[in-house]
Amino acid sequence: MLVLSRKKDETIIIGDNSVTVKIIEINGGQVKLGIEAPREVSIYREELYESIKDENMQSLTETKPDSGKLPAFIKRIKQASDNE
Amino acid sequence: MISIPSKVFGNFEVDKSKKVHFNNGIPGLESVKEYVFVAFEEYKPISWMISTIGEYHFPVAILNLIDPEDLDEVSREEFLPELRKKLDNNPDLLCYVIIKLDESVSNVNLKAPIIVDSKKRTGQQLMLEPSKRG
Repeated sequence: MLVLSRKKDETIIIGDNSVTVKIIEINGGQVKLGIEAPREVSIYREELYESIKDENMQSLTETKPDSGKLPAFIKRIKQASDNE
Repeated sequence: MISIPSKVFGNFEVDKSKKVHFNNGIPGLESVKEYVFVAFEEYKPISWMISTIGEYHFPVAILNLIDPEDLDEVSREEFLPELRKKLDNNPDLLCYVIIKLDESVSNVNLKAPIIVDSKKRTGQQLMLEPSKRG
């Protein structure tokens, strides 16, 4: 891992200048960062990414599910579309 | 047509147009970039997002089919308006929600919807949270 020291208002550049990270504020144990990046570059807090990753893994279906045992909201949608 | 060797549903064929490319994969499966979206009669209105290698299967529902009353509060109050705005601005976009096929699941959350560009056949999983990006 590359470790850099930066002070308030200093910036680091990632890649070909398309991503910059600026130290906006340092307050106790918390650092506020300002990130500039192209729209197509996704930026997430690690804990959010990890929680989505966990939810994705929990939703993976390994065996053919019983179509008679679906969540109630799915049954309601099915009923509504059958009635149309 | 492309052949999908599904480990859950067995081999089946789908039209190439059902294939969607995810540049970054999805969280947890970053290296899996090609999926198809298919609807089997038995499970409608659920669709399935299945990796073209047939290994990974996610049950999904089109957002428009879900009653807002079945969303959790944050999804209904915050994420749904944000998503609708995004979708209204681009009619080529489709929004799917990954669901859990568990009878005990009583509601749906929208914090990580799958957005598919039906024209470009590309997809991404959004991760919604309050953003301060300017």
